[in-house]
Amino acid sequence: MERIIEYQDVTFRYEGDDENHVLPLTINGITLNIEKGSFAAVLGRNGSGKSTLAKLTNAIHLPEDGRVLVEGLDTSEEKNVELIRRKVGMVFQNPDNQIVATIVEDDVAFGPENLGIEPDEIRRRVDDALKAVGMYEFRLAEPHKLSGGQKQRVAIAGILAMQTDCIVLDEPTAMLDPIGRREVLATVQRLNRERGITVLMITHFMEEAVQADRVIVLDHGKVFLDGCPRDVFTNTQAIERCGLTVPQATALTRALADSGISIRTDVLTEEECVEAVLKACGKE
Amino acid sequence: MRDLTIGQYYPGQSLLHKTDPRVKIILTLVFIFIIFFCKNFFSLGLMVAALLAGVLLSRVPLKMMLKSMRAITFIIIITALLNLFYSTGGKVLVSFKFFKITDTGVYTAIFVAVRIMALIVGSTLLTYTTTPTMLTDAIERLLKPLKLFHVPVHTLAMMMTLALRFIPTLMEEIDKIMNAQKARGADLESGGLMQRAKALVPILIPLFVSSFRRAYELAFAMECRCYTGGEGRTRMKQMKLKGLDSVLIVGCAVLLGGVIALNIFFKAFNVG
Repeated sequence: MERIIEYQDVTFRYEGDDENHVLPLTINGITLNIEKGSFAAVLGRNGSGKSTLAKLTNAIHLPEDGRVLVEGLDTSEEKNVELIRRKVGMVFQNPDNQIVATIVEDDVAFGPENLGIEPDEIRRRVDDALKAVGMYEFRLAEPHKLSGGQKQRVAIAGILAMQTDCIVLDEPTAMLDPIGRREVLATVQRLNRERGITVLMITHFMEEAVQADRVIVLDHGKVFLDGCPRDVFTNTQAIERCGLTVPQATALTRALADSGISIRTDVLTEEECVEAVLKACGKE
Repeated sequence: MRDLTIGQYYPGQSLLHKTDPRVKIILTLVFIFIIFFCKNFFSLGLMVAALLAGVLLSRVPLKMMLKSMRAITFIIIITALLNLFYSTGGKVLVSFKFFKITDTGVYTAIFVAVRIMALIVGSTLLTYTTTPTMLTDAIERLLKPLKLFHVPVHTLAMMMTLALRFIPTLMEEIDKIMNAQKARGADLESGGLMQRAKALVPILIPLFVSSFRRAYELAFAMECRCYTGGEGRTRMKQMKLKGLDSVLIVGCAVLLGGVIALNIFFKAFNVG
């Protein structure tokens, strides 16, 4: 598989208030490859370095040691920064703080306008991006009148219109209600499947991570677990050791199994859980 | 708070809504100039008629137009009264101790009142038919020549757009902070002026802190979307002069001609 983002033995620390105050390493030697077209979720407790990992992808942060490569371009080289930002788009946590214009379609056009694209082409891209996230009928709305989930979809459309190969989302659902969360997750999944856009999503909701092809768990600035969701979440002990909880569906079947009922314990989603419980009850 | 609309745009699809905002801004300025140029009721009447035609063309309900006038009723009345009492000359209609009301005074008062109303309606017609975004965009393009004198036109326009964008967000934030402080027992509604001003401090400080945080995050988000300032940027919405715009420009020129002609023709009736 072709790699789109490569972390090569990366370390990073934030600057302290003064020279004598040196903060510990936030990222402490991470080597990781993100494959083109994949959907990877990054999990970890607060302070595990997951947000920092996201910000290393498009040169917001530069590694103290090691290298971050985006399609082979080193983020620490000044001349690469703009090229990298054309390849990797970023969606942040707070939808209010990333919308620039007072009208939805103008905001989506902001990125392509910065790239100096022809007006007709921008129009085409904006319409296409808004349709892809299901916000086309809101194209003339004012952002502050939208719900959180809708604003976040507008932010995603803004990145889509730049036609980046990869979208990095830094806890995009943390400030949303459950409906908004579902909207955003469904949009991201669809873009990954239908358009082959690589997705790197930082989250602290296990139910969201379950939907990815790959789950990376960080702890103390290191990769703690890395694998497909089923492998990662059935490793209950390890998950709990780094301060996370397994998805509710997994926890339930595990508890049932512990109390002596014979049931599958590698379930991840609600549907699988229902199926497993029915099977354990002898009802297909 | 959600329903807050910035400015006073009245959404519509009328001819005036579709006119190029640059043309609208310039024509509004020209219009104001012509109104000051009117010397008698005939020329002013022509402008009022043109204005009414404009209001009808914009399809903005007359009620909305009158609403914008409410705020300045007081100013209109005061100026009219001043003119009524301080004008001299002409036939004395009423006289009471120091006060004399002459027929010139009455004419001047009416003339001035109508003129102010025409000015207000003319300029609100612009803000009713143009979104704030279109206005800032048009101002940016109109001021472009100032770039030659190293005026950062694009930066100023971007600041204006961002300010407009964040007004509702900050209003919501103020609301939240006020509620949070009230929940902690802050008293915002009683006491004298000084006390109330002091009570605002615990609201303003968190607001400032969060505004800086927002600015920081927004700057990151803009950089991530390849924003590097005005150089090399294109715009999705182009502004091109259309047939409609030239019709309006010619119309305005004809109005100016008409006003000059009426001013000369009815010189005997000039007011003031």
